[in-house]
Amino acid sequence: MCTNVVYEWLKALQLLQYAESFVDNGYDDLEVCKQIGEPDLDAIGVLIPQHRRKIHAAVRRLKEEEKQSDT
Amino acid sequence: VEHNCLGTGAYRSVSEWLEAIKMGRYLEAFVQNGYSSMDTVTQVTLEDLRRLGVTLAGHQKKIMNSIQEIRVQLVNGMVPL
Repeated sequence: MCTNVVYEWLKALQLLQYAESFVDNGYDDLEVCKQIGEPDLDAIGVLIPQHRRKIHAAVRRLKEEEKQSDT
Repeated sequence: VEHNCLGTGAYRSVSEWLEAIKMGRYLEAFVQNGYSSMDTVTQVTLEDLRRLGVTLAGHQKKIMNSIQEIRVQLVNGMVPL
């Protein structure tokens, strides 16, 4: 299993236990991770509310970084 | 994106294909909407997927990537349909 950006991203969030499920569900780059909402987390199997909040916050940061790099 | 060596075009049925990419949950939707052979699956567009109820971005990406690979293999004549 090779490492990719999503692996690094989850590692930074200390949520590496979900890496395989992210990739299995097609969330294998940060572009697609930006689109993550509640149904996506349901499919991936992130059920712990604290972990869901952590990922939502990280997704928001990804989108903000995108906006900044656009300007 | 890593390349898998499974030979993506070698699927004999829609069921085998969806299971292999871990999207087996959509089998019923595919079959009920007439995509019951690999021949028809290669025609599927993103719009079709939405209609089939594949709404998650990750799942759309996974299925479209796989269809794209199958098309390329067909064009290259690697896999007889």
